[in-house]
Amino acid sequence: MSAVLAYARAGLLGALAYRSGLWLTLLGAGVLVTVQVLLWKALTAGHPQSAAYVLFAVLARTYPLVYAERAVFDFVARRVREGELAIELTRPVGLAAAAFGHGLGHALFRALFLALPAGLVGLAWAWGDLAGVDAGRLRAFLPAFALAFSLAFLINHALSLLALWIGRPDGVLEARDALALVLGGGFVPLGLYPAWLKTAALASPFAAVYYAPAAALAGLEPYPLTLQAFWVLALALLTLVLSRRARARAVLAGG
Amino acid sequence: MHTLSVLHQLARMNLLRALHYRADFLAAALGYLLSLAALAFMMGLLLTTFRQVAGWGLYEYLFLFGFTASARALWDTFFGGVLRLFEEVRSGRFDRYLIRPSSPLFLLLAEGLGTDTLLELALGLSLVYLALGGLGAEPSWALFLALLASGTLVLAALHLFVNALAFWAVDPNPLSFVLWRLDELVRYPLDVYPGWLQGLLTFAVPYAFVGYYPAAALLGKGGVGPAPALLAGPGLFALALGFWRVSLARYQGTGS
Repeated sequence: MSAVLAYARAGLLGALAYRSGLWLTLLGAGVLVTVQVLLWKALTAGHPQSAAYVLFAVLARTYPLVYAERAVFDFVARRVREGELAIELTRPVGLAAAAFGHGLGHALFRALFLALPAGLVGLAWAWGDLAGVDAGRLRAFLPAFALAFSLAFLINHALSLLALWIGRPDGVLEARDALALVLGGGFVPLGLYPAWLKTAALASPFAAVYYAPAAALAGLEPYPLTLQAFWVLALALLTLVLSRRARARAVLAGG
Repeated sequence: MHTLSVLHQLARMNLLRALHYRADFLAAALGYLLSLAALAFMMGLLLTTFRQVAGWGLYEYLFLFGFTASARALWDTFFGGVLRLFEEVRSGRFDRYLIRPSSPLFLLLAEGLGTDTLLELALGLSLVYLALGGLGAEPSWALFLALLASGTLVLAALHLFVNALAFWAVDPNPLSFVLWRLDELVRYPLDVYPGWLQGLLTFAVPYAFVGYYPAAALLGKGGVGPAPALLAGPGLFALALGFWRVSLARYQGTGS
């Protein structure tokens, strides 16, 4: 635990040290949230669930910033590319735990300096759409977010391990983004999906990451917490298997 | 003739390089294509449910999306090389262009000729074709091509202007980044945004001339004819070229 926290501290300090590009990233996030709010306001004008959809758009563009997906992915992928993985493997802490700690530090940084201000920008645009948010929804949001955060970490860590097989798995990230866009329900809520696509979305882990927390807070069709927990367990197992094989492969490659 | 010969050689070199790294080439081409197709699909899904966004129906939106994607793919193919300018100047490698018997800008662009954008262009044009079929519209293809060329030149002008700042500023990347972020705004009809933002995208950072005004003119929407969109591309590119020349005259090398 203390090793994970040490990695988290190092991750946070590292993010703070290289913060010069922060305002640009923040500007980008602000533009993205603004565009989505205005788009959803225009799309749902006059619709009875307009406020819920607009709030959903703000949330679904904001809290995934905390996942620090690139930082988690780079932790292993960059070390493999630069031949530094061997150093990491000699440390007295597992690769997954180290990557999680590193991601946690970056997540904290992004929560404070990115998601929070971008969320406030979004909420300023969508001020009139907050009426339905209450303590009950917040209670539903918190466990959904905790599971979504864990799942996002597991997916990105598993993808980064692919670097041991394909060298530069960056193209996989593009595919992940496209799949997340279609199956994640973060751009269009699952309730608006046709039945076949909704089935496909529920059969993938992406909706548990991108749809579930926002739906809980915006009051849209809830995503079952048990299904989210199932995906966390399934991905944890997959990552475990992948880690063992990747480790053996790293030794074979001499990297 | 000399220019065409140089262009041919550099294009051939780029293609051979791309084919040598086939996996990277495919990943780059397919990755972005997948993202673009996914976004078009999701917007199609939304507009099937809500019928219209700010007065733009499903097929009208798909036309706008396809037109903008095509203009961006063309820009990326022919003008994307300008994105390397900052690194060339910073590293001192830009001097190479100055001692060669061709225009430095032409060489920079020709060396960066895109090879992985054909699929993106094909997707954009397919969406345009699909949308026109759905709308039952038959715009003049000559006007379509002229507006597409103009939209491409608007993008080229904006990026040339910002990247030419490499001759003036130590790090013009922040402005380039801002430009890319604002690019997000042109995915949707201008009518979605409040008046001040529409003004910004029309007069200050005229992204609206890349896709919105040309598409509106071709579909007979918005009450603005094709003339402003036709003039915007060549006009802005001429201005950007002027700025490039002034900027280039300032270049003194890195001294390293």
